[in-house]
Amino acid sequence: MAPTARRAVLLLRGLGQCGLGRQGGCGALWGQRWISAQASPAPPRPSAPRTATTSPAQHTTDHRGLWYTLEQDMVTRLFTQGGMTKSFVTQCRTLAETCLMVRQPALTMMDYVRRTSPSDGPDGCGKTLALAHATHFLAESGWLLVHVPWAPNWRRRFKEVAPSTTVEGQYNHPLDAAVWLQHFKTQNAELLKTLQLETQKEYTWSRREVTEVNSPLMELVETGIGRARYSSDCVLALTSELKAHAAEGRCKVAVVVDGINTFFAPVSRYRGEDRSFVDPQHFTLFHAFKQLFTTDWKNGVLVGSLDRLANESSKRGSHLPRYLLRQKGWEALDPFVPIPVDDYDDLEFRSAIDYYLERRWLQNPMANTDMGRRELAALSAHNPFNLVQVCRPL
Amino acid sequence: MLLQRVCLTELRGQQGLRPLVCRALTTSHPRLEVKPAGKEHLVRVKLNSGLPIYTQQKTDQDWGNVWPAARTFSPATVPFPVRQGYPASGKPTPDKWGNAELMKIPNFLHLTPPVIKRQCEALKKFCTTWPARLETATKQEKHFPVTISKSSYLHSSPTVRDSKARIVTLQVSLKSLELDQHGRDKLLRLVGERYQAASDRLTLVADRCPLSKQNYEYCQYLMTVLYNESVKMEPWEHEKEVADREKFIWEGSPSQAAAQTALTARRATDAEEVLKEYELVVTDLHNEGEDETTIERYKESVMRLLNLADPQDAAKVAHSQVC
Repeated sequence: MAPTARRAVLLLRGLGQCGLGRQGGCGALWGQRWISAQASPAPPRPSAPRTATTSPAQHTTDHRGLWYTLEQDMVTRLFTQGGMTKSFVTQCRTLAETCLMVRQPALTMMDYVRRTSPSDGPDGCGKTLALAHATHFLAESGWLLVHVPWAPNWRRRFKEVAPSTTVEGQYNHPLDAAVWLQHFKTQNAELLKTLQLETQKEYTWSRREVTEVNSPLMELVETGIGRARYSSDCVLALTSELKAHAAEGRCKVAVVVDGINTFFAPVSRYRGEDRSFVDPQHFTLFHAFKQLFTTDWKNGVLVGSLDRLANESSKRGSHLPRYLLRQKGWEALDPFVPIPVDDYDDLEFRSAIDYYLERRWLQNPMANTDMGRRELAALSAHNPFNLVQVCRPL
Repeated sequence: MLLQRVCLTELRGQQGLRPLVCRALTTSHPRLEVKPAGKEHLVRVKLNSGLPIYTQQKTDQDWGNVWPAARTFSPATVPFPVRQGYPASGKPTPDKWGNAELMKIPNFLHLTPPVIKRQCEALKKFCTTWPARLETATKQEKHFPVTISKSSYLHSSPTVRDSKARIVTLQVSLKSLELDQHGRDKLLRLVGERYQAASDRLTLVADRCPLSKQNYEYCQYLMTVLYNESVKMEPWEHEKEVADREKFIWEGSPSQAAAQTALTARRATDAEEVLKEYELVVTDLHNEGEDETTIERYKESVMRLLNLADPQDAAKVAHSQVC
């Protein structure tokens, strides 16, 4: 992830130049400061502003800027197959806990869901983690999750793509779809047991393998996981079934998609028989999820993030929704409530530094001084991702 | 006799050097008069006539008579000091005497305000009165939407022809053509650069024929063809798709359908009003381009459309406005 905010880029460039003269960049810079400031000891390490309220449903604006801990079993259930950025997962492993800051975009989103939608923002501002927070909330509130952790992977970092055997001209993702079905199963196994949803159609996979009418939905999922050959069609069948069930009021379905704009990108990295890049509109998986973006069903909510990086490299000029979604995407999703995800404000920034200090991610005691905090703010330009990067060698 | 001849020879020599002498006289000692011995009268007359003419001009003279027509700058006639040109190193800017820079540039010394006033007075008797009820520009444009302009030239040269006289310009306000949306769009595509958006006028310049009459007729022809082509609907024009549109059109767009569905689903009471506002916001966002402000407006509009707006928030906003 590269910083998009121009402000951030400029500040970082300035740092790079001054850091070159002193070995080791900003780390060395900090070391020198620390030695010179030994005479006046740094203030004691603060404790991170935390909240004991671990249920996102109870988070209000009063909790803004506070950190809450996700229980390990919840993390395992919701985010084993993705849903948090890789760097964040590594960081959580280092800090020995999964903590999220309660921030305004997630609060707004949860508020709207409660009152009944995609968010956009520059890179590294916390769109994915806002979605993670919302996912946690939705899972706790009894929504059936259809969670796509990072949709662009199906367009460019797929494991395998094969021409569909059922529909001419379509392409399947056998392994990726099976992995996603496993993800769906981990997230919703318990809920599906209580809901007792059954298939409304018969699905014939081969002469021997048939999913009968009125068999539990989990059977459909298991078929897909067991037989990767049919997994993409299973996903298509599953999403259609869920949509129908939700429309009839048997369950409420939350569709959470990170990088939703990738569904409207015109190119994939897969080359077809004629060696040209295949249009992702021919992917069965894309069909399966795009039918959930329409407004012809109810008892559902769609939460997505718009990410520049989910687009192909030639279409990353702006982080605003109309640009990222293009004409088609806009037409498919309109009307939606855009929720901007911005950089840290002062309160959140202070809280983040406190948290890193408490977890000893920031070892340098001078980070706790006013000067140190201001320097970190300038170096990271208040961008959450940049802050982690800047703090890494300190 | 001999003496006289000598004097005359001297004088001839002086006449050859006259400009130099004059210059020396005027620049160094303007009041100095050279009085050689004998033949006083003759010499004085000769030298006085060599002085720059402005020294003999009165301060209340009629400048229009001194400088009646356009003319190259002449330092002896222009009574004020003026400097022009690139100064040599360590020297001031060259003065008006023998200054080629001043002579090269056109001057407007024949067009001083009193002269212009006098000429206008003289021309007045040839003018007719301005037509009544055509005082404002809007009225003029309404009754005379077409403006034809051309120039006539008058020279004191061997030929009375001027090639620039053939150029004819036709200007017409687009409003007066009463075109529909399709016709207007097509006309603008046909005329390209010839349309001025600021004044909403179309300008056709014809200079391809040798006579102004021919060019005028060509303008008329061009205007007629342009109008008729714009009004015409070709069979292939129906093939224009949504992607080919130069602007977002709300009528029949998926956004309209989606908004209508959303409003019908929640059985809104103020559907008309909300839909109208939403239409404005969405059209703006597409046509004017998106930024943080338009996205914010869009968000608020969607909130009203989907009935997501919190009544407490609305109350808060109202309260803050009161404060």
